[in-house]
Amino acid sequence: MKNQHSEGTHHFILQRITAVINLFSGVYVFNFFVKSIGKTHSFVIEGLSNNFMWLIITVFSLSMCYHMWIGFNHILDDYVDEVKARNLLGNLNSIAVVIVALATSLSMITIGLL
Amino acid sequence: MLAREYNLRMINKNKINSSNRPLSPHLQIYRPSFTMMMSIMHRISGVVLYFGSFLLLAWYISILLGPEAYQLLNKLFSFLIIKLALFVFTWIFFHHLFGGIRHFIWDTGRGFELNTIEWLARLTAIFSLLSALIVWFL
Repeated sequence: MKNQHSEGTHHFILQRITAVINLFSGVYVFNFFVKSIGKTHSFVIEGLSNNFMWLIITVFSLSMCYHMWIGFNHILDDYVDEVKARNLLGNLNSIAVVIVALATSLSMITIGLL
Repeated sequence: MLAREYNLRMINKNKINSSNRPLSPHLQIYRPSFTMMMSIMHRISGVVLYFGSFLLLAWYISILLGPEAYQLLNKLFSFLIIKLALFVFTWIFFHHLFGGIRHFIWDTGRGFELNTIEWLARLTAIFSLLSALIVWFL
């Protein structure tokens, strides 16, 4: 029930919109992540408060999650023919993506606003 | 379309597939080429990034939990082998990014000449490695 025929164009467009968002925010987030390796906790907390880094990470995560949800479903569509297995993996995909999106947003909003 | 109807269609599709009709040529038929590898890499890098998102999530949560949890993860990141893996992870991210830009160019209907395709694949490889190096060492 993931990539229905009527959803093809819809997913095509959303995959590209999220790709553009990922392109800009992702470079920013990866740069921040790499530069933070080996630094202290207070350094990272300050980095997150500066220039709304926490918000950029939240936006990146949400966009990335939608992007990888579509991508993974298409991989399943291509390689898994068995309907039951395909649906099971599709549901696992949805669960994984929602967990990543929610956990990231909640952590970042907590750090950024509290 | 209803879920049941869709599933029935999928089951039908499988029944048709299980018959012995000729299939279109697939991966093992073609001689591997550079552009083909780069195309496959786009999908593989997507899957790697999918699982890598859990690593980023672990990092975010460790920051939220406080200095001790964060230092624990930081200590893990200090091992050379892990650092190398993180570098490759960054490289894979940029590989997927430039592969995506390639797709944007193709979306406009341009860049389908064999020569251009070859060059776009080369540029993807070069730019992705360069970007990863810049993020890590500059």
